[in-house]
Amino acid sequence: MIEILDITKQFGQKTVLHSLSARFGPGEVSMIIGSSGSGKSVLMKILVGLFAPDVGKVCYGTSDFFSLDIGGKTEIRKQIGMLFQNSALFDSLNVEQNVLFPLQMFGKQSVRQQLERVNHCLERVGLSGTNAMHTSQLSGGMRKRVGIARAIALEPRYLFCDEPNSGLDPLTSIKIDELIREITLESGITTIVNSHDMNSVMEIGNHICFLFRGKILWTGSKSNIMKTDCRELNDFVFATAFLKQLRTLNTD
Amino acid sequence: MADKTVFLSTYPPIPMFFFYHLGRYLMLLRRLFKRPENRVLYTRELIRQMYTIGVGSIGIVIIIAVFSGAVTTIQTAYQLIASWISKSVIGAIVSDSSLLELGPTITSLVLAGKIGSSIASEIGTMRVTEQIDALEIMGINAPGYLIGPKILAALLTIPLLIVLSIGLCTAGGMVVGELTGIITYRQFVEGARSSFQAYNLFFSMTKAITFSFLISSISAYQGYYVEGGSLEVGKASTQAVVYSSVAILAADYILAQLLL
Repeated sequence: MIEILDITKQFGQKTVLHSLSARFGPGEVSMIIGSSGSGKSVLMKILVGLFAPDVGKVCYGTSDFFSLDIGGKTEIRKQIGMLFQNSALFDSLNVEQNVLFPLQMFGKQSVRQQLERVNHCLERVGLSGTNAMHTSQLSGGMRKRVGIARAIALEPRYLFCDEPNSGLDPLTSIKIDELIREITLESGITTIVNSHDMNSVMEIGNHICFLFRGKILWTGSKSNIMKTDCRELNDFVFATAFLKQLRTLNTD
Repeated sequence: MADKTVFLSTYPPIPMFFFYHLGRYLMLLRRLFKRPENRVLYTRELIRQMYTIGVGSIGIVIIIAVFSGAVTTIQTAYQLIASWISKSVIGAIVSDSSLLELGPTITSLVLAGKIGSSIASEIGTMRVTEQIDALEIMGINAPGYLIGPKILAALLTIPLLIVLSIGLCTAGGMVVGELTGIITYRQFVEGARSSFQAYNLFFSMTKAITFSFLISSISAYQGYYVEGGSLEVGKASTQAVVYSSVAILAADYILAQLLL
């Protein structure tokens, strides 16, 4: 479980996050949603330890991440897998080497076992046989899948996904969403997804946090997101004229 | 970035700009001295960098060195028109110039352009495409893994390139002297041997090591803190070359003042 307590973050004079508190449980996909500039990416970077909060705590289990020494932080980080918006695959390595990299760096298995794990991860994301392909030869969806394979290579307890569907067509987006949900359920990991794609939210979101101008305005499940009275959330969810019309029809 | 804005808006711009970057540069270097997570991967990266920096620069070093030596011989002969000056002096001047300045400094300035821009753009691209974030989230000391092997590879290979450059520069001068009839091989070697001092070799190698460190570390710093996109990576690459070159010239003067 991951818990954030009273997180505040400022850049210069601008407060980007205002006293945020939330809990993200294991075995479920928690979604952080909000429009551009709402602070989702900053919150994600604080959660994974790339930014330190000015005030507040990020607790992995019982450990307050930012009060740990470097060794403690490294131990937590070994339990984190992250899928980046642009996949962040290492350009100088091929698919196999990308997935192998965290295993080689931290794994204590033999080379054969590591390669077996790589093949298992690639098979899990539907990319068997692409080991020798260079990252420049991959499509956007394939890059995301390799990113997921790399993220799960060390069997993490926590999985973070930053805009997993950005730049993908609807069908590929659904496949990526399904993959994230399946991996979360299979291993009982704590998954946090940062997105503004409502299809994705309705598809895989078990627990949803709506961020508006650096504040959590609403939390709940996907079933009650449609019935909320929160005006800002409604404006976000029913942003298009089509959805607004659909909602009116539904209410009537 | 925000801290930088606050810091620089609070104090007078020019000196604070320098101290801000100097401080951040030193703090980045401090992060290199941490135990590697996996020695095999670090060693593999070191070998890859040694190949890129060392082997990849041999061609340009050969061209620069040979032509520098050749031109120095011709220009020295042109200036030494007095008949009472022995021709072997040309050999002494060319070999000493190669050892003291042409080999280490000119080669390093050229390498600052080639290696410096390559290091800055490689690390800068990794920064803007979040590859460095990926390393840090995995729990890897990103400066240690990305910058450490580059600096070490530069320290191991650039002095060798400079030794090669000194040799070829002197040889280039000697061959052109003979071919153009300015000075015979025998006179050239006689002059070179008469002026040779072992201390000059020590001085030259001190410069080589210092310049290697400056080129690799300044370029890595420029790349590591890139913010933005491909345009900023390009700017960082240019800045890496400019700042490395200025640092080489400044260090050249300081070392000459201190050691000669």
